[in-house]
Amino acid sequence: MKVTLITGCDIPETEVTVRCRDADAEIISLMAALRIHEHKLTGEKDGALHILVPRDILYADTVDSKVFLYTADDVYETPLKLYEIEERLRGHSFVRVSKSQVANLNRVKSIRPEFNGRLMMTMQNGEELLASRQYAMQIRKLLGVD
Amino acid sequence: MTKNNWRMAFSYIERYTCLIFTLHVTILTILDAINGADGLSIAGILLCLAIDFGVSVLSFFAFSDIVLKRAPVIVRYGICYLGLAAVGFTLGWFESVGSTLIAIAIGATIQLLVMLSNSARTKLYNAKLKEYQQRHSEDDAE
Repeated sequence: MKVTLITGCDIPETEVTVRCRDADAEIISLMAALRIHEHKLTGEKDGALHILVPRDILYADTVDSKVFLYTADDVYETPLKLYEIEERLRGHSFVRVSKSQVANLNRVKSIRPEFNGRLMMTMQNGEELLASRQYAMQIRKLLGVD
Repeated sequence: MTKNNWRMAFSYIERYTCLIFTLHVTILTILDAINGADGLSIAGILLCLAIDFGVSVLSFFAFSDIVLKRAPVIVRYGICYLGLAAVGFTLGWFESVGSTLIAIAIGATIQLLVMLSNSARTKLYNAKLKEYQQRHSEDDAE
């Protein structure tokens, strides 16, 4: 892959253009990394790339080493790792709820404390996420419950 | 006792009531056997202990949300109490059906108090969640 950096005072706005024959896994990963800097994520669905803004994402989930982003209506696959999503979107109310899930607290409909200190979180699309004890403590701190 | 300590105490009762209850039955059975009160044979004692242990483990798991992960609370409690009642009655610890029901009623009252406490906590969590969302939706708008 050839990488070229052009700098100049006459360039009004920073622009990144990726020219490639095919949008393979490497390119998708590169695009996702670039999008992170503008707090947007790239998700793949039916072979097409989509740009997702954090407020539209309800949660991210890992299934068989693949990471998926869930919006109210759709599911997108992302090349990012779960910890990368967690780190990059922490300022957008994203919080780790279990080893395999990161949830957007702004898109939680309700929370119910469960047995053994766990929290059952109902998302706005009706899906339920169970926050394990380890991560429930962090959520309590964020909400100011304890 | 602080509010947090009360919450912790409730949490422990909630978590271990069935286990403690069943272990109590087990200890009484052993004492009965040692004293020869009901004249159980060694094989009989071992069988009772095996059943008792099985129910202890099952009721603990039912409470732990492991086996019945998505079952409603009432189903989990129902299974625990039916199991305990069956074991207690079989072992002869409860002398009659009436005393068995009284023992279960005491346990159920404790659980009811725990459930009411849990309901109050749910309201608190949701109030805090709404506050958090209002604060952060303003940040996002900015």
